Amino acid sequence: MSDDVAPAGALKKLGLFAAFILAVALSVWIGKQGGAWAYVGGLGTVAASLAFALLSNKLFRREKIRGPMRRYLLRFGVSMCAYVILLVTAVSLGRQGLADGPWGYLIALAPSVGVLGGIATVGFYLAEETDEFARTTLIHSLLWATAGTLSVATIWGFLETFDKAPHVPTWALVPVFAVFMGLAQTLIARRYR
Amino acid sequence: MKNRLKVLRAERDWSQADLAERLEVSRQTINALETGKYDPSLPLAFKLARLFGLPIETIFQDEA
Repeated sequence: MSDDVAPAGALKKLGLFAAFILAVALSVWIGKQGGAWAYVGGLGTVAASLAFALLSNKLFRREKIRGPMRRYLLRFGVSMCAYVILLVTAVSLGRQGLADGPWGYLIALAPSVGVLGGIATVGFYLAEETDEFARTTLIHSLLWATAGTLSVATIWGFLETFDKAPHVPTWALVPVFAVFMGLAQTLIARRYR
Repeated sequence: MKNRLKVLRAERDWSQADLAERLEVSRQTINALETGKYDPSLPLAFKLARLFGLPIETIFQDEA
């Protein structure tokens, strides 16, 4: 533990986490009301996640967010907002039967743009981060998350081949990767504490 | 790798955040260096040496 930063109270940590879960649950509920509410719910989830990232940094690190990380959060937020808007629009157009025919490919590909943007922001951050320790720990986390995701994909894939598991679309691997990434970053941060 | 960063920093009455700012790195980096859990790259080691006005080998102790 460092000598000049007092740890945030467990109650504060729990409070922030509870507020985040509540905000996401509320956003999901709003999104389920259908129609234009799906946009509100999706964008609400993005806003809640960004607020959680900013507040947790302020609470636990008590350090100003450095330039590259600020740009990363901004770009990631924009990508996720684009993802929500494109996904909701594409699903709604698809339900109206507009995804049939060759133009349907555009609708089918639209949500990927937001996700690919999110993946690219990680690359930009790695290129722009001047702090070598931050870069090293991020690369370690990315490797652990890659190993975890490939393992899950392999295991699930074979279960599916032998009819032991239902089919899951491959875009689901992105959230799986994100979960492994969060886990790896938490464990690696603990190692260097 | 063992090092004298904490002592050198204390002698100058700098906090981890002060040293981080002078090196243009995060406070987490200083903490990881001081606890010996992370070894700096050569450029960062030279930057530290210049900042403290000491040769690298008097800041970091090679245990090999």
